[in-house]
Amino acid sequence: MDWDGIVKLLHVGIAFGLVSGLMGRWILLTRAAASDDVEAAHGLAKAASPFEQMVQIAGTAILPAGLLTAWIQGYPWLGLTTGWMLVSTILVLSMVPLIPFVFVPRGRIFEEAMGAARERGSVTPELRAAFRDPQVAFARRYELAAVSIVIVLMVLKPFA
Amino acid sequence: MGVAADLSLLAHIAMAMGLIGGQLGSRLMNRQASRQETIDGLVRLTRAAAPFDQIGNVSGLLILPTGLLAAWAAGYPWLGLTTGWIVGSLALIAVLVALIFLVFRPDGDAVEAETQAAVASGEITPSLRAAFRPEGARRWAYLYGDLAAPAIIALMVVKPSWS
Repeated sequence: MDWDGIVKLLHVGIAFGLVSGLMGRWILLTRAAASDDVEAAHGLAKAASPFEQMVQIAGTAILPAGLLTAWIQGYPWLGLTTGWMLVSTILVLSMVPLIPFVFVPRGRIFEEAMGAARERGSVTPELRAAFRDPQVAFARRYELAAVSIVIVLMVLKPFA
Repeated sequence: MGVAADLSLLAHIAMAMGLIGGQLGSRLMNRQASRQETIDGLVRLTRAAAPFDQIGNVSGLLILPTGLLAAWAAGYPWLGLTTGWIVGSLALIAVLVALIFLVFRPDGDAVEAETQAAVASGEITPSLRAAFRPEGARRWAYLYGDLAAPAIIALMVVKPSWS
């Protein structure tokens, strides 16, 4: 196998990791939000953490791996003069601000609400509200939509 | 043929992502479940594995037809069955399917039965702990199960010229 194949495989592997992480996190947090037992909700939210880590690691690595793949495959300017690669890059970069502006601050609020709910021994309205946070819900849907569009672009390679 | 090829390839890749995501999720949930200290925690996580299993099962069923369709739409002769890396992928899948029926499903049933018994007794029993730990040849079967899908993806991406 040549470098072209190895780097492309790495990029595809990272993409699979990202999709698996998004899927797993979605499934477990949806179940946690639906739970009426605070310990069950906590257990499921905790179980989602490996998926969250996958999203963070794969989300960070996917763009460098993609640019490296484009470079090794001989695309000029790391592929950024190729329509579908440019759009994909913009979509991936557009997810970055969600971390400092949504996930980190809202995650702190969620942790506080979960801690307080566990102390009281019941699912509090604050915890319910944290699970249903519209900003987080929007950010997660945006991530899913952006990743889906990027996958379609990678496969179909339109407006080359 | 262009639109059919694009759509079937997209469907095939979606099934591959569903299969890997489902398999990975199920393994992660069951691994976390096996490390729980309470029966409630263990049951919660084994139940949480169910959606991953469903996604993996549906994707696993559809991955082969969509793959053959994609090969046909892309113009491979004989649905790709004369192309080395496609035949290699099919061989890996055939062994995986055999293991599902011979090892994974019976083991899943055994874990479920032990879980029910443990729930009735109110604590995690040694036999339930043991059911989560495959021994001997079964461990190799699980290792194969973990590695087959990535190996198939590697074949799909790299398309080695064996034909």
